Amino acid sequence: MYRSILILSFFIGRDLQTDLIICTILFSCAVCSIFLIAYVSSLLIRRRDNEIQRIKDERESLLIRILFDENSKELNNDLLVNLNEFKSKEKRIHLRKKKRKLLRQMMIDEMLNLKKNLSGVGVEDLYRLYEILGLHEDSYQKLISKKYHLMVMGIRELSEMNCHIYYRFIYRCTNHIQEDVRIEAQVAVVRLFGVKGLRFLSRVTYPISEWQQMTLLHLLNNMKNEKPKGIDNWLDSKNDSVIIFSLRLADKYNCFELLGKIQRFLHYPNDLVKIQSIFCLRNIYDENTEFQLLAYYQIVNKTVQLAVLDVLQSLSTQNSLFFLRQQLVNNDDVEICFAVLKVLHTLSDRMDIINTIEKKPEIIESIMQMLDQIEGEKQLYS
Amino acid sequence: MRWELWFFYFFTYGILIYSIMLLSAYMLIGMYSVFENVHHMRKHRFTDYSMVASSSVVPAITILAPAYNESATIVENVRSLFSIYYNNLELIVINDGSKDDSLQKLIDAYSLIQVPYFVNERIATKPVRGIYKSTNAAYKKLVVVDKINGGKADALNVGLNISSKKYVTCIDVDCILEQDALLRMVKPFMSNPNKHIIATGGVIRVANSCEVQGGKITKVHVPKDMLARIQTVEYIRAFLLGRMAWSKLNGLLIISGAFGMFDKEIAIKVGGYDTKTVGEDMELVVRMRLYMEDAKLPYAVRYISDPLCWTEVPVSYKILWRQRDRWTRGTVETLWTHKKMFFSYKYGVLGLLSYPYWFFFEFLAPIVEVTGWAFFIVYAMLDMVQWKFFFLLLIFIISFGYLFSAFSILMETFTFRQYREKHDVPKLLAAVLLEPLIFHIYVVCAAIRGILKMLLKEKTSWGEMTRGGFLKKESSKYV
Repeated sequence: MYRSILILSFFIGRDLQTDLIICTILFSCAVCSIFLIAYVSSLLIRRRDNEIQRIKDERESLLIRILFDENSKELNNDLLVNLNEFKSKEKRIHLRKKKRKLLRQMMIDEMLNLKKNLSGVGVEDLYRLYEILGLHEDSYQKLISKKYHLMVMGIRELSEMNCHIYYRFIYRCTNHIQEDVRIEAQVAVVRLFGVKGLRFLSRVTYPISEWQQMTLLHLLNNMKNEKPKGIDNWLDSKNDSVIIFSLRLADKYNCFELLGKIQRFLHYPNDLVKIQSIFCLRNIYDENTEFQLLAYYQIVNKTVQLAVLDVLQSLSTQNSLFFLRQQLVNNDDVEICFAVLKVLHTLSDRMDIINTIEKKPEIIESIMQMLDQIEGEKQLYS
Repeated sequence: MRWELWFFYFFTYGILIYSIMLLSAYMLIGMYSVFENVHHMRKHRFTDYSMVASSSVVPAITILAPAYNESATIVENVRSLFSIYYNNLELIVINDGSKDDSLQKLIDAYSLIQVPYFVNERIATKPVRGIYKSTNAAYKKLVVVDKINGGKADALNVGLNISSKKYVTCIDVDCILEQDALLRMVKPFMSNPNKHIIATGGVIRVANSCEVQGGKITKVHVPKDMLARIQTVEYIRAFLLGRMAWSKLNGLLIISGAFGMFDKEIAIKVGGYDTKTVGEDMELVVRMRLYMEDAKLPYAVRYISDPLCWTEVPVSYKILWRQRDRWTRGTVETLWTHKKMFFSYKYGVLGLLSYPYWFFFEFLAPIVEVTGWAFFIVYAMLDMVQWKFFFLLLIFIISFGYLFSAFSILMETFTFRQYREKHDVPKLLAAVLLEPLIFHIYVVCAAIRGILKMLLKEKTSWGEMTRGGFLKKESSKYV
């Protein structure tokens, strides 16, 4: 043992046992410190949380008083009176700069929270209050910060509080290298200007994720139904995600004039673009679309075929019957058969389908099960 | 020099080097995880999930919830799943040949009738006896599958065959999910245009003693039971100081079977869950990753560090033993099945970092620990090692354990702060003190038993987990 300690001591330069004692003491001290820190921090954080909650409640009641004081006939006067109260309170506390900043941030947070439950004049008053209190300056400072999470915060606050004066700064961020800033800026311009804000699509070079597209579409759903200008140009974008989003927009706003262009995307190299253009054709179509899809079906892969069959459920007429029957009999893929059957079921009755599959007895059983399922689902909630 | 002495040196220095590497690995991963957690919290601070929850454009998700003899809680558990905030959802409950009246209870509670259903058996499974749907349109999303018993993996495979949606979430039926859990889990799938996200996993938190109302956790308490409390510390440590780092390195090998979301097509392409292993959750993730690596496709497995899923942990030593035995066997089986990854340059981070880490520090750790202590005691008895040295080493190792666990509690306090009561942190710190003295020894023994069972090729099974049932605010106060 001693030899081993000696060998190790050669590397460490000291007696191993002494080292171990030192390490153990150090670790024990560290453990005690961590235990103490954990306990004290939990108490401090708890106290801070309570304090924050208290201030939040105070701010909330102040805000509600400012915005909804029914005794006041003149909102401006009322605002000024209550505003002075807020400012004097802020001064009275004699806070350090950092703490004052924190209090102002809490006021912004409270306003953002309150906004979710307000509409109409209440929201307008909230915007005005945000401006009068100069809180937009705080948000702007965040916007020009170098820390990306602060930039995101600033953009969110300015857009939520309908602060148009910083539009140029926000718009510049719509193609920002930092993903979070870019995403927030894109949402912000749409929140501020509705469909007009979508003009960032002309310049964005980074991919727009599915999540971002979903958020933007959801935001647009809650705005007045004004058709965006420029979809035509965005469809020419070199960014595939912009094309997909533009196809979604074309679908949402029923841009029938873009039918030709949408049809051209059926032959685009990217499968996701192909599929989106197929889904677009569910709403935007002409008398040739059905035939075009039937012809197209034969030259594409299974994923795209399934999308075609999905759309054919709404578009197909008796003209598709022959083709669909052929598919049912000749295609061995279960998923395709099921999708074909769903379309066929909208066009013909059960007997007709059974007659079709009689030519292929080996699939009769599974086709019957599928048919039962389709019929069962329709009956269950009809 | 005598061979005994050589053996002694080899052994002493071997363990010393191993210990230094293990402790360093823990520290590095822990620090990296903390850094990433802070980054994650900042990044997601402003994501308004409620905004998109009601949206019709959210991607379709299927929840797969296998159930075996869950009669006592099944109706409430399904009701809890219905309360999840998500628009485009399908809920498949798979009754895996329960011997109790689970199915009948579901039929009665949700007005179910047997419906004709075509099961596209892309993965071979035990036969399905029947598929039930509700006549009540309010439960339109619910599909109940009754099948012959085949184990959890087999039940999940049936779910994969039946699911009609793009993404599947596999959960334990008794788990309580946060309202926006699915949105948080699905977000990575939709936020990475350049990478195919094949799976996401969430944090599992301990629900023992928590207050539950309407299928939701309304108040978080530190478990009253000491065993559950120690497991709370263990879960915090594992999820907060481990997984995030592996996720960032794209080296995550496991997504907890209690709550994970998968790309259904990839899961089916690789053949679904392996019914021959008890660690089917880890095995599937590894197989999916290998498939993507072999196909040379850019992909990632993501981990969400927000607390999303709450589950009951065992409060009896017997069940805990079975659980840990199973976890170890699952790990060993998965590592053995995919041994080709070991230090394989071809698999990048997976082969050079993740697999070796799991092999050396997860699989070998209990073996090295037990043999190490056994030899040290023998050497001390033979006077080859001084007792003083032995105890110093013991204190040193325990101190490190304390340090690491207490640090995880500290991080929890600074980040997610789930335990907000005044005495919660001291309670958890007390559990930290007790963990190495009782719990750790017990768990190591269970792990060794698991390895022995595997080596002796004893029959593997899932065993049963007795649930106390969650606390309902309106009735009893604690589990």
